Amino acid sequence: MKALKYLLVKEYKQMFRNYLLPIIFVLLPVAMMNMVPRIATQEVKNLNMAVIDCDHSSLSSRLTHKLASSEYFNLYATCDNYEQAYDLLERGDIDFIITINDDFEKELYRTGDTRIHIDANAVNGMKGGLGCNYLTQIVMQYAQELNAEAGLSTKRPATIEPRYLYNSSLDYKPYMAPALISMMLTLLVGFLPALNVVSEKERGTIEQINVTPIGRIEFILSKMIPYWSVGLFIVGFSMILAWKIHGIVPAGSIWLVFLFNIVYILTISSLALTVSNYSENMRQAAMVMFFFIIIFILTSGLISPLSAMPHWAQEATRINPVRYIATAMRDIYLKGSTFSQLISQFIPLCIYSIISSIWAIASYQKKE
Amino acid sequence: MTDKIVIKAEGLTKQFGKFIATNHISFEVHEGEIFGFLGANGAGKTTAMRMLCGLSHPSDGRASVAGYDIATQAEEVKRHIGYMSQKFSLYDDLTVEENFTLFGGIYGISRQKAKEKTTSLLTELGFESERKTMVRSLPLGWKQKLAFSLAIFHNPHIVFLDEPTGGVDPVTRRQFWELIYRAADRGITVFVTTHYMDEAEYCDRVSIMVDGKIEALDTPANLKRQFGGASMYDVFYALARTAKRVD
Amino acid sequence: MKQFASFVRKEFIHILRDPRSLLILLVLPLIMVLLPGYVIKSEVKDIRVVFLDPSHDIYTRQIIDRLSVNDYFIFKGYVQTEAETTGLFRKGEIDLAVVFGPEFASRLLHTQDASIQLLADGSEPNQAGMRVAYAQQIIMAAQKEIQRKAATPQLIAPGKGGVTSMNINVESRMLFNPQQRSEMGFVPGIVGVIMLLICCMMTSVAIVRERETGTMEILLASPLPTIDIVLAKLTPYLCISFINLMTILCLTNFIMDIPMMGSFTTYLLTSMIYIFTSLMLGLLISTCVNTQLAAMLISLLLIVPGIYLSGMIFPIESMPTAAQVISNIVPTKWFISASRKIMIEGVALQYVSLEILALIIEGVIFLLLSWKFFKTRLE
Repeated sequence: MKALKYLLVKEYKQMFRNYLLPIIFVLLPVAMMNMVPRIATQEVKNLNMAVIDCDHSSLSSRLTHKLASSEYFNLYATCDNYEQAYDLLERGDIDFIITINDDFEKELYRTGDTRIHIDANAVNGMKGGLGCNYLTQIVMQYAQELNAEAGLSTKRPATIEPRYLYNSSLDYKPYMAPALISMMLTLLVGFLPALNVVSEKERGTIEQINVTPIGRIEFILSKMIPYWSVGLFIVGFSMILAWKIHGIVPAGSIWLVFLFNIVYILTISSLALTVSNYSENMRQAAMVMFFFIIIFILTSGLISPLSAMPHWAQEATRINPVRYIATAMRDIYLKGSTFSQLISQFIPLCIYSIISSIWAIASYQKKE
Repeated sequence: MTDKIVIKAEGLTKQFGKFIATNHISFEVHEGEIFGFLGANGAGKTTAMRMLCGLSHPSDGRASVAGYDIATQAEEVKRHIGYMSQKFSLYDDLTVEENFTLFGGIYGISRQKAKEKTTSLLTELGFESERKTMVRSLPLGWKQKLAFSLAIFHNPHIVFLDEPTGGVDPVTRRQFWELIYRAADRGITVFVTTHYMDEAEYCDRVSIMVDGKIEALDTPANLKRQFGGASMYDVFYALARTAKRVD
Repeated sequence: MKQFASFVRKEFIHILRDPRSLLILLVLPLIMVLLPGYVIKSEVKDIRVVFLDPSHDIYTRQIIDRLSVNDYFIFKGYVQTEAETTGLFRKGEIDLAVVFGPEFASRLLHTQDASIQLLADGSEPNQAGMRVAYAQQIIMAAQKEIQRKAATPQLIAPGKGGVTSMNINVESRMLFNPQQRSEMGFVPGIVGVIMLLICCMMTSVAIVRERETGTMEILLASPLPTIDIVLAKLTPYLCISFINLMTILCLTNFIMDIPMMGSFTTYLLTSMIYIFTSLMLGLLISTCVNTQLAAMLISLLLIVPGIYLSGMIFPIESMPTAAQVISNIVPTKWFISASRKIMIEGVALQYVSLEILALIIEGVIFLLLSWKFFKTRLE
């Protein structure tokens, strides 16, 4: 194990002499932490709509005004006919067309029932659906207002009061920031060790190491430890950034965050080395790692919620290590979950890390 | 040179699929000897050498290096050999000294000792001024000399050199062979592959491989007599033109 | 021309010799399209719900029954205190807790100040919002039924024209995607990302590799014009992206039931322009760096933020203004916008002219820049 010290000195020197790597370790978290939580929002707002008001009555113009002043919608244009509005929708300028018929006011006063039409661009189904819900709510409120003004009242049902726990303002930032840390870890600690070993293969220096009596474990450790430290740096640095930029701090224990990430870093770096042990050149290693990382990230719940997946897929994601770290990070950050509450995430992650590190060591052959 | 045998190969074979790279070769190398391993490109020299260094598992036959079996005691073998590969393989993003410290450390030489040894080695080479130079910026000839010094840095019993002088100028090659002689004088057995015939003349004994088999093995003088050539080039040409393998 | 053909053949051999990479190049895109189609959804379902019901009366029972039998909800039992829900939320075992106020039935009928609290795990904002909205709808419907049955008819003063209350009904229509399938928005986007990966990352790595191994020198020393060498390097990746495009279209059209609403030719034209732009970006990266590692890292550093800014997952109009402005330089944004319009909305060419123009301009800029860097390198 004495030789390990020398190998580590070498790895760190090489890492810092490669001007690009240290820059990336600092720049990537800064850029991503600044940018992603701000833009990675599926909040539906700033929706553009066009209103076709055929009625031109006082009630219809009040409705138009009410819709336009909502926080979710911008009144992009008022159109005279449907063709005009549809043209705007096809151009992508608007996503909602509200049509008020010419008998809107008359019907309301005569029968107490009137109607408006909404056409929503539902290419993004979530946007179309939520937008319609918002519009409907605004129209309902307007109707209630009219009733109250006219002195009509309906029987009051029980009030339903929603309370959103852990994220009371339903903000996407505290949801995305912890996940982003896991995503950056996956990218850096997943890619770099794999590329490092393969580049030694391509340059032939690995031969020179293989012909020495260095043990497998020592060699693998010398490749992993530098990236463990990089990984821990990324975690710590990103946590500080999340705190300073967005004021997001874990509701739970900081040590728990580190505990989970240590196990996760061990897992993902071992997987990276395993891939590199089976690859002949950089392109191959990068492709294979990329393949796994993309599938892991897409199916981990980082981007879309696990609960929305079909059951078989939810079960299948149990073999995805990113799933456990993503869930744990969000639960610690948002809900303040404790270790015992997260044990069901911790155990699979540990098993995964043991298997992958054994695999990494076993697949490294000093001999062909 | 003593009578003690340090490398002994018996029917050593390496097969890749249907292709037999090294076909049942047998030979012995004595302690302190400079043993030349000649052959055209693709004759199987590098494959044989990689097996002896414990980098490649033999398909058949057996061999021992420094008294250890290469198949079962590869890690023990590695403790007692030095190796310089065909492809230049020092870390070019480390300095000269850092490379020495690293490989010294791998063989258990302490930092202090490695430092002293590096100083004496570099002085001997007249290279003291480049101690802190990044290896990447050195000329090829110097890189080769350094790679050799590094291969014998830990005083191995045997050093394996795989075409060590490829691509360097005649003057540097000459200097390189002086280094080899100096190592041999210190009792290090040198196992060297080459296809420069003038270099073959410098060896104590030479084996010539054709199509994976050893076709001739003797001292350069005996070989010339046997094949009736004036130089090793004639000997080599006489054997190599029978080769069927084309690169 | 013959020389050119032999160069192209050499490039293909490079790729074919590495079946593992080739397999990934051909299979990964399919998986990336299939995953959003079948796995990555944003629909809300299986809402795990617990109830806190101190009054235990007939009306709370009715509401609980209505929620429990609904397909969207999974009944997870009763709790006795609000504190109990905290542990369940933290373990991630429930999504929603319905907390009835005390004396629910009598308050509902007599004092009219009955209350229900919906505690939702707000960590996933949209999911939380939709879960609460579903629960609200069902509880409202249940209450209407209760009121109708329990009706002690209350007299209401009729208003103007004799109406007792005024209702505005909203009729909504979901254009292009009536079932609100999330993959409709996702698939055109993922095509954009795949093309970028192959054309930009793979190409830049392939060219830099040639430089790293020193063979670029040999090629440049040959009588073949430089432009031919570059074109020969780009051709295989052009072919691979084209194959991918075709397989993806077959997949979406025949298996995933996402038909091409617009004109196939328009789509093809837009895609070819986008592939051109991505290839030029790859070329530009390759002229800026010296090692494969650097090429890969730079491509990643451009692609990953590019994915975020492209509007594939996160709608651009929800971003801060600065990000919206920056997103204009991301070629993928223009491609995704155009292909959503063509594939799903089925619009004609003139409606995507802005997107096509933007892609062409960017492609030309990349080309000119890489030409300039390449020149400086040679000198």
